[in-house]
Amino acid sequence: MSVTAATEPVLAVRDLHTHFFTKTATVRAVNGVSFSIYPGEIVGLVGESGCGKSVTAMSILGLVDAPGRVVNGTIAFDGRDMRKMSGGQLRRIRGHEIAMIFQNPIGALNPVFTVGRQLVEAIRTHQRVSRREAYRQAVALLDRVGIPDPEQRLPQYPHQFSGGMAQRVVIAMALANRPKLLIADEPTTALDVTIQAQIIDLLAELNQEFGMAVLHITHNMALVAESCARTIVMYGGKIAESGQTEVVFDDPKHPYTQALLGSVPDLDQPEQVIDPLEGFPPDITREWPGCEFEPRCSQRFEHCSVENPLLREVSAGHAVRCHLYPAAS
Amino acid sequence: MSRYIARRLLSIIPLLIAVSLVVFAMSKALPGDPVEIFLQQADIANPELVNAMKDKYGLNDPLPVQYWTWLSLMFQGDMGESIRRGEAVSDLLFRGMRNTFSVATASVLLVIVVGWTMGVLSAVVHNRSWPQVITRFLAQVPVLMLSIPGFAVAVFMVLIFGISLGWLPTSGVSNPRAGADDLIDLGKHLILPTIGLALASVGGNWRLARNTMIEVLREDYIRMAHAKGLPLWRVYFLHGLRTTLVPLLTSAGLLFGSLLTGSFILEYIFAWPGIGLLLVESTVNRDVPVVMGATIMIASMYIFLNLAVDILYAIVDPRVRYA
Amino acid sequence: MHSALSLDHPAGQRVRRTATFLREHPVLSASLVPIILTIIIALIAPLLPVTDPNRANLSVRYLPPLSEAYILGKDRLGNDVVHPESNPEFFPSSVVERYEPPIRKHYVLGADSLGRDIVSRLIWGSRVSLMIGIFANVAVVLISVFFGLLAGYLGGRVDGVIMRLVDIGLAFPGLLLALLILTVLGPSVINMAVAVILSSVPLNIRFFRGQVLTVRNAKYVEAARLLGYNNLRIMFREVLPNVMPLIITVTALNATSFFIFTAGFSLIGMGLQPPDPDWGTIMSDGLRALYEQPAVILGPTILISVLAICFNVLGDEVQKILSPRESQL
Repeated sequence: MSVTAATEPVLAVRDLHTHFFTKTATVRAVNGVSFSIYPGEIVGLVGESGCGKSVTAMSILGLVDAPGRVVNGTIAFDGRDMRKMSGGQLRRIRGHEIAMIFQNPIGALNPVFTVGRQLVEAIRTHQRVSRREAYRQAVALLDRVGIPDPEQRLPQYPHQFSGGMAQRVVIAMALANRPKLLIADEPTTALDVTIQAQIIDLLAELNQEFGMAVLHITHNMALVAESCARTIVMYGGKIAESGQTEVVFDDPKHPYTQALLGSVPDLDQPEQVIDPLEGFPPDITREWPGCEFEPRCSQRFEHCSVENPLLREVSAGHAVRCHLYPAAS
Repeated sequence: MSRYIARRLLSIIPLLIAVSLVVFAMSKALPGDPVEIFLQQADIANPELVNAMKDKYGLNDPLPVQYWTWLSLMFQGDMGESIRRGEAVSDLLFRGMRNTFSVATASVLLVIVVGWTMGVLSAVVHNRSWPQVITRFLAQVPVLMLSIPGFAVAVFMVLIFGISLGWLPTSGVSNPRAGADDLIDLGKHLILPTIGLALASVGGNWRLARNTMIEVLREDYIRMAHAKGLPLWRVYFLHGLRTTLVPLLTSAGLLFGSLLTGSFILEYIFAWPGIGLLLVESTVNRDVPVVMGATIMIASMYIFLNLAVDILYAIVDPRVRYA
Repeated sequence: MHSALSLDHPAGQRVRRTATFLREHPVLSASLVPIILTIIIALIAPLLPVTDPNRANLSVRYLPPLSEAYILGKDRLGNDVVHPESNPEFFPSSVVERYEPPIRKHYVLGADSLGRDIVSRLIWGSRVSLMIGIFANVAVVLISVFFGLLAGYLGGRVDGVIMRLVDIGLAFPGLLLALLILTVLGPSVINMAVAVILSSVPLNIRFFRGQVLTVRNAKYVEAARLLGYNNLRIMFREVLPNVMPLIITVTALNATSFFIFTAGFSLIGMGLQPPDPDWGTIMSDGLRALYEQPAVILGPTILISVLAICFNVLGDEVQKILSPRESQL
């Protein structure tokens, strides 16, 4: 799906900074991230663990746990700045217009309440419907996400569900109020590979059917290639590269993206040497004078350790934050 | 569920038998022959009489027969007579239990009302990142409370509120001048023993509630609850508290079990005529039938209460129920 | 030269490391001070310039704290004749052997119901608690670790038999078992130690068995089994070292409860028998004189509370160091 500039983005994040203030240091988990998501679009947000992708998601919903805090930036949802909203206003958006699903589906369901009760709660928090009507909706939702015998499943407890089934329940809960945006934080990481594919397909179907935008956060490049229209690569709390998925995958510009793609084994080319990225994620407790990726970069040159590069467009919709690519004229 | 309960009930029968054997063996291991002691007190030294009395009380029977007689009589509610007071042991036990029950109930209520509330509040305060002074204070106070032994608390309170200030009575269950059902008088007498008995547990439950709730508030389903847009009170007091309650209920149940069995040191200090004081007095006086009766009752009550806590646990935590 | 250095070095290093450790854990160090002080005082009690703790003198019965008395001389029976006021000129007729000048004696914490010096009773009384604390702790740990190891590692019938016995012990709540044992054996210091040991062994066995169970299935134990080592070797060379660190925590916890047990039993008259002092018997004596002289009970009660708090804090701190995750709370 190609995006025209005329459409208003459903979510526009500008210059987001989320820092964690621990006793000994300030951890700059998200350090100046900007991106937009347009209606009905699936965007992949990829990067190593600790690169700030999950914190970005929590920042959008205003759910960053102490000692973390969003220190700067705007998060515009449907043109309204969420950072200026009161707690009550935020809660009307959470679970209603923006829904979220988590990595560990069993953990995301409260173990002492039945699945039905938690679904009904999600529905009745945002819709004025009777308990009976909410229950009817819950049955329909479970049916829609592909859970057999929804009526029998509703009175059961989370521990009676398999991981894949539980993730379907969580997705059903997220869909309950027809959100405009679904944030999926590593939705398949905790699941078996076969189940992974089913969940990804389900998300794609629901995206088509309900027209909701999806922000898919993952460390798995293959999943992004499969399902996302656009890809954002994060490194050290900043965006390294972003663009249409085909473009980013076919012509990766940033050395980090190249390294990430190089470490994905390609079944079509069994002879290919897998080239894992060496070194460790950067120390984000200090502000880097140069590029965060410089210590691990195979193409670094002198300038890299002096100046922090800016995110520049190299072609339409394709942006890279690297000194190798001065601004396209 | 009922199968679970039935299985658990069956499993305690051997335990009860074992306990009764221990108590019986103990009574036989006690130095001194009760009949001889009794006759000595009456200044009678007559070997034939001793033998006759032993025959009468079945003390010459083989041990298994004696055990069986004791056990079957006990099932009929006959635990013998107190050597010292000449009253039926069951009557003494009943009276002691009543007094212990009132102070135990009051203590558990105090633990729930103060300990749990403070614990949950401390966790919420911690979670919301209030100033460190407050969170540290709320974390340290319970540790201090649970560290001081109950009898030391009791002594301090008696000295301060009983003797220096003269506000509260420091011993017994009632003022002899007050009527038998003067509840205000009973309440006044209850205050100090209750605090002495409960303070450490208030601290313990405060800390348990706080730590559990802090852990629970870090769980994914709490994030999920926030992400669902639930109001804060619902996140904390429905989703957070409900799971926190599982270990808290267990702890309160176990506490009630151990309080009901009587804290003999505190009952001794406050001269509170409960089961603990009865046990200590009859131990000092070598009043064997009372010691046996009290021991067997305390132990079996404790076993049953622990079983009740297990079942309660299965009720509040669905994960156990289906395991 | 080289060997001289290496001989000298480790000891010095250990001292320095201990000092750094104590400085890094101020709470732990603070809680250790009263405990170590008590142990030292208990050990050197015979060397301290205090009077015989059992020396009664009814003429200074319930003397208030911070007062002084004059020992004027001896009466016909050889007892001290004391004048509690500061009037050395006054001589009762009972004095047959007169001290010139009269001996001045300070009663820092006053005197008890028999006119015995409470300070000296407290000092000598600390020895009983200390003795029982050390003896019982060593015994409980040895017995519990041994049976816990047998039950946990061997499992099967051995485990069954041990744990049924443990269950019986646990059926008697709190101090009931100790009270019963004391009833049968009769009150004395040794019997109190035996009672305390026997009544706390069941709980400790259950604890250590649980720990052994978690270690038993570890990979390195499996590896040892595959290498063909016999059970005895695995139990003592592989499993035991991994349970060892817990012994520190358990010892600290046990120390607290043993300490309170013994004081409590002496308090109700089931422990140490008069006139020998321990803190419980001093309390017991003070309990009878709450109105006449509350200071008698105050001294031992404060000491017991302070030490109990220290033991508890110590146990807490040790646990924090051993399992850092919980220390975040």
